[in-house]
Amino acid sequence: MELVRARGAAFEYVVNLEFELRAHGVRDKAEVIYLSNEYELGDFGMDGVRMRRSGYVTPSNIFTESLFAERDIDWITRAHVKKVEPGRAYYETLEGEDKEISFDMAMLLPPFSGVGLKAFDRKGENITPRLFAPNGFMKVDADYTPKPYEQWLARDWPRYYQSSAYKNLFAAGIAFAPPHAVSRPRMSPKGTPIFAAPPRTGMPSAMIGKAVARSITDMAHGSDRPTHTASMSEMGAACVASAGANPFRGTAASITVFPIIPDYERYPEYGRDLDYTMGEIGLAGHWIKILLHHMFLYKAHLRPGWSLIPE
Amino acid sequence: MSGQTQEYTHESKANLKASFYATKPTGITVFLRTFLPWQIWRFIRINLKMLTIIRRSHKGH
Repeated sequence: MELVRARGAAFEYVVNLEFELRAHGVRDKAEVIYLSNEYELGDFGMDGVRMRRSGYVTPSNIFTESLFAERDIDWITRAHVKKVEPGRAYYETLEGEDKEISFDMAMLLPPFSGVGLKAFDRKGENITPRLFAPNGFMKVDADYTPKPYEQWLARDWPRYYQSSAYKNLFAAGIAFAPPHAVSRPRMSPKGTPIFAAPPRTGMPSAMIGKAVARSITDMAHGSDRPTHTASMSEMGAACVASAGANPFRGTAASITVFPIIPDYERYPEYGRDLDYTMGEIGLAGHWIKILLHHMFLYKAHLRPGWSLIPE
Repeated sequence: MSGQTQEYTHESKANLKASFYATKPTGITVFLRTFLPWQIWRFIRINLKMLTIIRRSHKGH
């Protein structure tokens, strides 16, 4: 059995799959492979995470590779899946080689893209390029000036999520167009971009949604501009990635980063505050995952005190 | 852990796999991951850390 994937949630999928195979005593019958466009494992579209551990500042690929090696999960990185057929996937490597891999079962995550909305003005003219980036996400108050990786700044990222074309349009959470990636963009000799897209789901989406909702409320009450900000370069994120669901034998990777978008002007050495950037694997993470699950549902049902539960 | 009970063949040689060059946890590290007293402490510690980050992220909004 082989598994072809992109990244993020599929990280949880692959380690949980391995956990279940082991729990059911059939692990020796399956070969599990993780295929990704990341330059290194543990990039997660955030250019990796550096954290203090055992007297060293260690990059996240060390931890991710360690987890995979421990679970006997093989990995293929720097690869772009071009085509999938029943039982076979075709991919291109960063070196430009065309390769293929066979599988009995595969899970593939397609790249993020917008829903492909078309926009027209009153005269019926197509204004889609003014409102949306080519990938379908809405352009907001970010700096979209094309510039090389070396010149990317944390402050290129949006703060209000207001459309640059229309004041009454906002794109919260996954809907806004990022000004650029976070991970270094890389291309194969054939011109295929092979790198991970930045994450925006989970905690940042919830915080952005809240800021946008408050801005819209204030604008409805007379403010002429948005009043609340939620820049991903000013907020942290906590993520719990399950690595096996069992209340006593399960584990999960608990990861925190601050800020999400590395800010090398504020944190010249690593781009992030290492006091608030950590990661560890253990049963505690699984318990936190269960706790978060119930807290989110409680909040979603607007039960008493729901607003006290943070995003 | 993989490969420890497999019969040796040239093809199954451990150092032919990428995982051979990765950092691996020692027995005590793996044990602590599910050792209840340690994990109860980590549960409290990680939750506090996450709450601090959430509070800091909300500052000035």
